Amino acid sequence: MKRIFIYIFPAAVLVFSSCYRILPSKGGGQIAKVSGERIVEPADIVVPPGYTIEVVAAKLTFPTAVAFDDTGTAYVVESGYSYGEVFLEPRLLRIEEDGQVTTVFAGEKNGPWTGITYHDGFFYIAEGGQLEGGKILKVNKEGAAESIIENLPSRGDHHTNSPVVKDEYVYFGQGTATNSGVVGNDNAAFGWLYRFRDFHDIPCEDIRVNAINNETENVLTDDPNDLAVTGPFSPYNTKVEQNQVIQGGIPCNGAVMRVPLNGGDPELVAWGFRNPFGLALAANGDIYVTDNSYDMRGSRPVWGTGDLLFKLEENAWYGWPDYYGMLPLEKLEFPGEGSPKKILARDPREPTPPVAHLGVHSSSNGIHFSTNADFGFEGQAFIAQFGDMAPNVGKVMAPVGYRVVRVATDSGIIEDFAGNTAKENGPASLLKTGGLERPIAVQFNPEGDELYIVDFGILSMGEKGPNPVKESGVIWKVTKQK
Amino acid sequence: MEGDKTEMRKLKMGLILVILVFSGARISSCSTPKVMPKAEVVEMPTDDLREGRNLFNSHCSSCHPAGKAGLAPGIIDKPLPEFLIRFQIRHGVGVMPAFDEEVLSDQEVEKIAEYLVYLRKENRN
Repeated sequence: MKRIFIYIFPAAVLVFSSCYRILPSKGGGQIAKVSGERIVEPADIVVPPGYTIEVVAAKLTFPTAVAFDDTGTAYVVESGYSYGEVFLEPRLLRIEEDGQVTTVFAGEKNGPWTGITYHDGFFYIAEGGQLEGGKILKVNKEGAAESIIENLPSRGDHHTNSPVVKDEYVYFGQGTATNSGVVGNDNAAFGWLYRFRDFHDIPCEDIRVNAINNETENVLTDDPNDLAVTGPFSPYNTKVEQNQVIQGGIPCNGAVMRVPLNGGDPELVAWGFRNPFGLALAANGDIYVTDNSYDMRGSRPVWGTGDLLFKLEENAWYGWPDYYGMLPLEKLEFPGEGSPKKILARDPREPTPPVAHLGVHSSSNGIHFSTNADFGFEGQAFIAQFGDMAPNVGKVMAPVGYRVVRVATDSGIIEDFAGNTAKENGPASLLKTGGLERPIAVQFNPEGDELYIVDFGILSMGEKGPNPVKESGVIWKVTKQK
Repeated sequence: MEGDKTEMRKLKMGLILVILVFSGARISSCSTPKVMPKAEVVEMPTDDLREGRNLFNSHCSSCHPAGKAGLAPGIIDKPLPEFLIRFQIRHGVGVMPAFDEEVLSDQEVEKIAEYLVYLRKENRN
């Protein structure tokens, strides 16, 4: 009998080692062709027993966030931009009782609008700024708008994100220009490198870098033999020397900053994030941040890092571009391909531990806290998971995300809250159902007894990049049966 | 001599059986079981399972969300005994990194394995 174990171990090796290397990526967006109009069917979504889900509004184009005014009326923002280089007019829409929408304010083609909050008579909208730089817009209910800050460094991979109001300040996230600090040919694939050839990440304070220079084909010249050599925190095809000082400044990338409600200079709250997409206030006044983690792409690919949930600490540093949580990237080896080399010659300070580890490539984005015991899960964070964008972000064995999860912030325990009913995971377009496509934000109503889920709509991943589908966005509402 | 042949036949049969079992497991390991979301906060019945769940969430769930497939294959859809789970955590066969004693103690590895077996049973019910 003992001998049988001689065979079990090799067989186990076969089991564990074969899947990832042999099988192709199975991302949820890897759909050859999305056919027809989106079907919307609440029965295709599973929520916990005792809860129901319904449609509030449909046929929206790239919706990204919901807010409520002081009368409890719901508003939604349409992004005006999607990965895949689709530029439209972003819009603030009021949702009428019959589910129809009325335009309150339309912005310039400088999306994506990534988030919205309402405070004391005004909406505050994060304008992603893919073309002109990021802004925070202040808009009243009649549609009169002004910028309270602009020219944020938002023309790259990630944008100006998710405003929340606390102590007469608007707090907002500012994503990084790149995946892991180095401008590369993946940024050309996004589109922005051709528009802004000198754009790169800006640190929030002066840093010293190691001479990590990456050689690639130079996509900005016509000569196929021309090479680009690019260092961290530098423009494309610009080398760095060992211990070179890179000048920091504010505004900067990979940071949470704040600005007074009536505008003014931005102040740094914390930095070292990668893409701090979702910000939310807990009942005790703490701010929590969802951070989209590294991808397996570009000149400095990073493998196997899940999205993170952090509690925001003033003056803290969160580790980008050299750590995943508390783990140095140098210790995070993709077998056979080595690990990323350290960029910072000296860390600004100790990185800050995360509250929870979310799925790799889950794109854990919008976040909001339950504050009503009648709804349940009081004090827990609800997070919308947009879902993977494999294979562009890296390979996955199965679709990741495409659901709403809840997180106990004291323990980091993550549980599903809403997902699709099919046995396999994935967006509705893959499963051929009428369920969730790509949840991007969650928002409780002011009473806290209804959870709104903002579903961006169909975004498939083609050979040439993302293919977003207009008029496929949906707002869902979850309530608990009395 | 005849005894040796019988022994060899038994070994061959055993090998075939093991390969068949694990081939089936490998195929199923790349799919995701469906689990109904819970309407209440889920408490673990023992302290070890509670700690196992916390450790799993800190070290494993990013790649195996809720024990299911994601970046990596699912764990809770395979008939793997606890000792093989412990072996995999320690030695990191395939692309999975090994978790050495500096990261997870033997007791912690045992608690993760125990939690995964518990999770598998829960999902089967």
